[in-house]
Amino acid sequence: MLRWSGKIGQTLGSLHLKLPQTPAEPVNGFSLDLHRAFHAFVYAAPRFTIEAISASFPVCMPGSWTGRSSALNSAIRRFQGNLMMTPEQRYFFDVFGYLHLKGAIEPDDLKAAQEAAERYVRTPPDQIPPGFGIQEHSEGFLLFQFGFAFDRPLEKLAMHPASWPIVCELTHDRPRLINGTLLVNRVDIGSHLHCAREEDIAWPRTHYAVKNGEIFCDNLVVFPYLTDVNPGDGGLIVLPGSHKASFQRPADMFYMDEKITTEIPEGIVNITPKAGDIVIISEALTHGTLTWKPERDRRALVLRYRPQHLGGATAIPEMVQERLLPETRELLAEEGFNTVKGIVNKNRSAT
Amino acid sequence: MTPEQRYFFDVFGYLHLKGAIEAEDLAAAQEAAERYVNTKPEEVPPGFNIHQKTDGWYRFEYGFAFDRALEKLAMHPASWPIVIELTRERPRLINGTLLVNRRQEGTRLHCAREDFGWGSTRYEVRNGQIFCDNLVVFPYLTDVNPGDGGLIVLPGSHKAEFDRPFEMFYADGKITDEIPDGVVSITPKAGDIVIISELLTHGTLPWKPDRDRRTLVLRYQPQHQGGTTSIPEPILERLLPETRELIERQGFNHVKEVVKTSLAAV
Repeated sequence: MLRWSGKIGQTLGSLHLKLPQTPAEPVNGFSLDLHRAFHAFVYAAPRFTIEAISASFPVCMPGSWTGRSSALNSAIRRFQGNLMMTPEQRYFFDVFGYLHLKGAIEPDDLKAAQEAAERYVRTPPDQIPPGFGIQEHSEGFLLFQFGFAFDRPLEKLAMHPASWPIVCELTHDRPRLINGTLLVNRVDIGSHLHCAREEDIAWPRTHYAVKNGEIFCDNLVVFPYLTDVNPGDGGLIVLPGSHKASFQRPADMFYMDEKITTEIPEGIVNITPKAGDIVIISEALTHGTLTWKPERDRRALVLRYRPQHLGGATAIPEMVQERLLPETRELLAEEGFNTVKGIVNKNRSAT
Repeated sequence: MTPEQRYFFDVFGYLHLKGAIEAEDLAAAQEAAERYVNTKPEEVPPGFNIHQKTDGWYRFEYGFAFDRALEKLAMHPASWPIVIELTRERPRLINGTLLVNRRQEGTRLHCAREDFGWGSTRYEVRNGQIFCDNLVVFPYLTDVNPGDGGLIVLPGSHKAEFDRPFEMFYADGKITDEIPDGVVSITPKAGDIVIISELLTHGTLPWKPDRDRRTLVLRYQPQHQGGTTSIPEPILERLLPETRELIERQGFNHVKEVVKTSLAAV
């Protein structure tokens, strides 16, 4: 076993790593054991410099930076700005297919976002700014289109510090915002269980994979909640783990005739976020909504992300885009796989 | 397995078969378990013994063999087709303990891969078939109600790609009464059967009621895996020929008569 110790960058800390003398079969140019050791290293030492990491892993980093594997480079890039999921978030998302970040939005930001949402909801249809619109979903939701662009406090949520590192990691640092709707749930109809793989051309459309200790998810939804959901109210339900399902879900499973009731059958989890929480799901996760019972609205932004190199042009009209900050417009832009957007690099250096 | 069972087991890593055991069979099994529990340690038949685990449970060793009513549960019509499918028609019963949960403390979250290493246990799907090489079947003999405690699981963890951070869900790994997000408490009634992959991360909440939680713990693996059974000869001698065959180790190409008979009946 190789035993490493010494000073790291400007800190006085030291770390002892037990690494195999003869690494296991190389993966992308370095061993899996070393890869895991690297991850353990950066988790244990979140403030260490990138030069220190390079110096500490001579076995897996011979020669220049470009000699390293893409997976390692990716991990190092995120490390530079702490743009990494925590090990707990990574385990939870991998196993269950969703994350529930509690109290993620600061009270002042939440209040501003709630007020902005209220303004959009109360705007008479004939006074709505150009490009915006209200759509009634077939299952009864009101969709306030492009709600994230209605006002700055809502726009800020697209790169919120709590969800942004997760979006970056899950898209391999290639995030693209596809759309952002303000969802208002007022009616008492539930939404049928579904996921991206169950609809249309289905199975090949959405991927979830893990390789070299990294998750890749090409269809993400982030829900910053603006109102409370209490147990018994209704709202979002999910089948934890279904993002990895190997079989097609039998149509009548869980709910007869696919009709959602107020029941929560075994296997289904009702997520009940408070205002200020953020929920993140893979679109491969089977989900739906229970019948909404309270008089008050359920309000959340529905922010959809995909890798920047997938899919076509955005559906967001130019007159809506014109209202946005330059960084948000960059987030909306389609790019090639080899481009790392400035907002990804900028956020790294800012942290 | 039905398509629903197959989907549920694949996604969540467990199955909960409600009302699986007929009332008469359940009553007979409960009565047999009661007899074992009430037998004085010095009077238990040869080969049997009572073992108190360090975390406080009572394990009535080889409980499945204590009486025919319990032995029948090893090939119960509700769980047997599932055991056959998940082992690709190569089932082997490794052991069957009668578990009695009387005390307050919970059992830490764990699974086969966390206890014995990543390579110890497999779960795979290929050509529309699940293959699972470490199964536990729990026929419940007493009720568990919401709030009582008992079995908890992390649905989907049988496919986890990452090591679970040790302190995740419960600080210091110590189980409390809390059920954090992601953890599911399974509350079977007497006569229900719960089946889990040993890859599924599971544990138990502290048991609160004065009454026992009693269940058989029937462990299955493919017949071509592992060494010889640890079930002693005096126990084996008490069993029906078909149960003895189920316990036998066999090569992969062999199909046991108990399986052939079941498949023929279908």
